[in-house]
Amino acid sequence: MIDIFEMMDRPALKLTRRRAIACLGATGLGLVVGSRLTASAPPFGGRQTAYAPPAAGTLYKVVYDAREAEGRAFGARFAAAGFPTVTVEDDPTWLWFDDLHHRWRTAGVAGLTTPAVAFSLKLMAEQAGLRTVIWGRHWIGPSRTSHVVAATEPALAAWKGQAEVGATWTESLHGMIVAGAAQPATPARFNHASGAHEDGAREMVSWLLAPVLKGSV
Amino acid sequence: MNIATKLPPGLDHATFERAIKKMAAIVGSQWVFTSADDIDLYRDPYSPRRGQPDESIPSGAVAPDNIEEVRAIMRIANEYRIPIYPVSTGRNLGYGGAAPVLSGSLVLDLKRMNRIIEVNEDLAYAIVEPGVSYFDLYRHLQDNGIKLWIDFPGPGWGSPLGNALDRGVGGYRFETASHWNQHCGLEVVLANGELVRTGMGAMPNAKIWASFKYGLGPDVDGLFSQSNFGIVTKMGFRMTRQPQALMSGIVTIPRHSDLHKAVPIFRQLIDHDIIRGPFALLSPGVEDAYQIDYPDNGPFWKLMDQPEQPSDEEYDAYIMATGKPAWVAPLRFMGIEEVVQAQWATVKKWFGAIDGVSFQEMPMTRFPLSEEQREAIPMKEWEPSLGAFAMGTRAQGGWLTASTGHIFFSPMHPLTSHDILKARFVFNGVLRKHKVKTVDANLALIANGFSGMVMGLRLTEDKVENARVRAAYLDLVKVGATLGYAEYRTHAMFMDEVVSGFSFNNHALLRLAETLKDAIDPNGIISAGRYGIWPKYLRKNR
Repeated sequence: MIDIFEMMDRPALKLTRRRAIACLGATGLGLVVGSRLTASAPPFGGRQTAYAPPAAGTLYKVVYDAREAEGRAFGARFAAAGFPTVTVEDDPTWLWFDDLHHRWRTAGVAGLTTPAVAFSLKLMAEQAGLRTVIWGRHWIGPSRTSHVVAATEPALAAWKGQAEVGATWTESLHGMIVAGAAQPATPARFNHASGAHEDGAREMVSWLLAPVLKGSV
Repeated sequence: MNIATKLPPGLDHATFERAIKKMAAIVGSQWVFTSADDIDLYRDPYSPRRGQPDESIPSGAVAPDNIEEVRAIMRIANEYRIPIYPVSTGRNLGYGGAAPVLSGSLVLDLKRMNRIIEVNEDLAYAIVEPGVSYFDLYRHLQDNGIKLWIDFPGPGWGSPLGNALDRGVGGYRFETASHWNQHCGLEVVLANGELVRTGMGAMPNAKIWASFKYGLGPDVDGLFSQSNFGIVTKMGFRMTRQPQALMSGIVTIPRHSDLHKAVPIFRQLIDHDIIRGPFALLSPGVEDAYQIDYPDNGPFWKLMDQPEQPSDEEYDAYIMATGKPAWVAPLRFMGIEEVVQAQWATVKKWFGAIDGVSFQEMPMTRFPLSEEQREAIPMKEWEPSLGAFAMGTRAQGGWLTASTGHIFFSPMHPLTSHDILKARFVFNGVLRKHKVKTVDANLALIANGFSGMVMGLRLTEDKVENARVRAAYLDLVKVGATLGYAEYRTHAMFMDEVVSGFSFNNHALLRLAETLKDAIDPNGIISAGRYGIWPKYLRKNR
């Protein structure tokens, strides 16, 4: 049995030839890559305020990696359903800083991104009092895609239900996330796993970060 | 009340619940966290012992909003003998996260105390509370048009105050790159609830709390860094003035053996204020060797798997065969443009004495930037970021794809070519023995008067592999102590072992710390075990 909760907290750190620079970043010596959004920041408020309860069933924004076909399909599905969407690539800094940070305490944020983007946003969200309602790891291999998903019970039921009627996995994510956002809670310790991933598979992570009803830090 | 199973040592469930209810009456029940879901947030995401019986897990967390609430919590903690583990904001990944050293401690989460008390642009300082993050401070500077820079570590989610207390490092100038060095004045809640201000802050209405480091009498600030003698609730620190110009220049040294010529030049350049901040010395010629999975018996490891350090000739031959340079030093210059140009010219002149050295000059960036320039420059090294996690993440494959985290081993050693090579050879030999990989590229950090390594030991989802990492870490600490190389900070899990290396005169330094601990925190309430300092009631069992 895979312990999804052991796995979900950790980023798949993929450093390449630029790893030296990344390591410098860890010590503050590095160069930083950022592609800033043009959204303007709201007036400085002096300090953070207490958090309001979430509005059930809402999603403030849906984030996707438009470089990948799966990300585009995911984004298109949510856009067609009327949800506001935004793209992200490798560094979520300015998406978080200029946009998500200001609103995600009152409504959930979902996405299909690289593991590193998902991990960074998850840590920032948890620091802001949100909880990880859904965390799905998807390994897209040459011939098949495998999944390990931790989600609340209604969300997981929606995921499985859509898969059973022949929906693609990105379509199934839509149903799962909408169901998860309707009743945001920390998932119980169960998961859905669909076999080992193929060698050379690339990983994407689907996620729903949302405030739960209890006030938190 | 939903209370998780992990309780503070010596406390039963009913007593703990009574204490928690009292704390909830102080801070509000919504700011007390005892359920398993809530506690999960305070576990170490990178712990090599995650999910194992010896993982350190808090009994809960309480989040005060102000000093009076902190003081009230300390009084309750003393009454019930509950160990408290203060954390600021951020994650401290690689060094233990928010998880306490002593399992069952109650986390005192100071994130709600996030007031920026003052930023003084003229005098280039700030005074902040623990919950202020680098991003919060950056936002404040931007929104108020303040032309000061923050010296920050990798991910910007951390706390300037918390990072300084743990002696984190940044990179602009030697004066501020050591974040503890840039601090200036503290406000501290002691274990008994007493509120103390240090330095000039001890003078009511002090005008130079955050600009003159010392007050009068004993300089006690150091007692609150890497320790457990108090809870720091405010800190003043020096900031970096936005420079007129910034330029990066890269020095590339082809031969491995030329390190013996290069390091004395670096020392001279640092001592003459030409190089004004720390930098990393990269080794492109050996990077690839660290990418290959064990067992690897390629030419590099044949060279390294010997009892003695390879000779200069052997290293040179290996590097030459790779076709890559042996050493690359990316340097940063900032300040007045004419001075920056003169600094870079001096670097080129001095290193020009080494055959084959080449130089690459990046375009000069002049401040302030126009909005068009801001959009055009993707590399903004003066802005905090989450980019440390993003670098290279889309590139597929590679030897690190199975990595799920890391723990840092960060030994410091003298700034000599001999020590740089020795540290690399010996510490990598230890990792090789344990079949443990690092997530870095074996770079050397060069600073004013010393050098060091920051090795991120790779963690995976494999418990057996992670157990090897733990064993390797302990071995690294032992070997480092033998060599006289010590870490500048360490992971919460290994603090006892690292501190044990500071053993002069039968551990006189630790005994002094214990004497102070017993006097200032007789019930052992604050951060039991942090940096090896245990309260009396737990000490005898260790």
